[in-house]
Amino acid sequence: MLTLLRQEIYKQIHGKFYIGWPIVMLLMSLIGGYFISSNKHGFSHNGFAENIFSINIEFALIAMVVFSSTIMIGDFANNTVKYLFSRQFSRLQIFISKLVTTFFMYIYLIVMSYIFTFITKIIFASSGDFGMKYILQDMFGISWFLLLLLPMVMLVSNIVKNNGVAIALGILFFFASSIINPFSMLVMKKFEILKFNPINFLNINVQFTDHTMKAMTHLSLTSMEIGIVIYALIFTAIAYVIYNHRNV
Amino acid sequence: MKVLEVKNLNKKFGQKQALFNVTFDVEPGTILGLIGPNGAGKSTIMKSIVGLTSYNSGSIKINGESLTKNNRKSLQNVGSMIESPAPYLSLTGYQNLKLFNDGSTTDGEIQEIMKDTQIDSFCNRKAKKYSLGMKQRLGIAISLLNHPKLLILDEPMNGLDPQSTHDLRDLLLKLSKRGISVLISSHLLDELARIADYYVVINHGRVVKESDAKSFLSSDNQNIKFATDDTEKAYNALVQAGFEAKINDKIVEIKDDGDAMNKALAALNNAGLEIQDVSKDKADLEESLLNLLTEDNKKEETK
Repeated sequence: MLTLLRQEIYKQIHGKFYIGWPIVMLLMSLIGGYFISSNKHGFSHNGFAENIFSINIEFALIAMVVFSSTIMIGDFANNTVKYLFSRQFSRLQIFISKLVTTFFMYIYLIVMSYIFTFITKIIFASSGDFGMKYILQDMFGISWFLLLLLPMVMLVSNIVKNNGVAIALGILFFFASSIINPFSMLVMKKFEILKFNPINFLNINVQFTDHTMKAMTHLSLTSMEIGIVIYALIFTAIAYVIYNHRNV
Repeated sequence: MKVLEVKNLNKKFGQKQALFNVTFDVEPGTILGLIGPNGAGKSTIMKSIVGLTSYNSGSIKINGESLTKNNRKSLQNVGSMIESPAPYLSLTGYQNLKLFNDGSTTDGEIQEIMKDTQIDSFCNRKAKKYSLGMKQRLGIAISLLNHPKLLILDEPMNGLDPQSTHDLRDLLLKLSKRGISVLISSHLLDELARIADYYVVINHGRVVKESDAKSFLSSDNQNIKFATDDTEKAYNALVQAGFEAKINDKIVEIKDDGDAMNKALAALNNAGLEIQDVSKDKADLEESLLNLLTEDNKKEETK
């Protein structure tokens, strides 16, 4: 298992992703910082870091959609899966090593988000509060959101066996909640059970910072957290079953 | 102990049966050539052995240890390259070797593998810039990592130039002398004939023949050719002696069943013929295989 983890991390360290995305995040952070600070009407040093962190974390989120899909089926696309599957390791071990690597990548991107927020704040708004409380809330909200979104992306990747489609659907899921919320609110009024649909749980990142969302989702924050864990486990388990049964 | 034991392997793709009770084994330090036409099932057998594809029934043992979906420990001793090499293209050759090393191969051994497979001159270039032959050599180098006792190579000579083919042949012979067994498939039968100790012929998913190289080549369809002062008389003498003879451009040919030469010479001498030339067909793996497959296909058709 440690060998597999080492190998997954080795691939990432020698790949472009772990350098490329943070560069994009840093650029977006600096561009965002520039535009926010140049807004002479509403610029406040106090809310600055929170806004910049939001920009960073949203790019980290898109990065994670791309990463989770690529790590899951990239080996099939490149045929490197033949080396991976023809060794002494079980497919469960390989699958788990990919999940753990995905988690490591998320931690890495979160750390980068903090660093870039800090750098941007120092450059454009050195005074004022860092807004740590809001930033942490934002981070936890997004983490719960990803806990549901990434298993969905991994499942789709394994079903469609196509990286591009999985990434597109992942990004669609990202926007799905805001697109279908007005419609689902109407339907949920009639059919209460529909509040348990997974798309409704994708509102968690908003509900984390805005508790009035409960009126729309019909779920408490705790219910959402429990639901997300259950859905994440189900989606991951199905993704593994598909992964395990693929012939090469 | 046998390095590889494949017993009654059956595999279906949907409704289509791809393998029928495939059984063979590989002895330590030997090279077994798996031969047969395209689509015969060679790659499916190799994929089943390394766990790339599941099989419906049968058993596979590596070094006496059963290989199942949940017990793959025995694959620790297996290096493989199935169908085509597929290194990580964004990594260099050396990085690919470092990546697939499970920790048991030292840096010195990696250097040795690079030398043996002759990738040391380009191992610091990204694999995406490699030609097919270079990728092939890298694939073989990867299969040599982690001290394998069994190498499974599917068409390893594809894309190699004559010099590289020659070097690979030498490398495989060297490895077999070191006690490493090799299961190899190749369409380059001439090359295979120079290294294989045993052959297993696969056709339509069945083992058609399993034999050691020497008897495989000598067992069928080698002809002995006689040039005499009287072709017609020689033909009659050989037919009378019980041979199935034929005349081909003033040469009388008979099949060599191992003992035919002496008997035929005696028959021709007894008939008072002057023997001007005697020659024996050179053992040819390709011809032997083609004859075997033709016979097998005929049997299939009559079923």
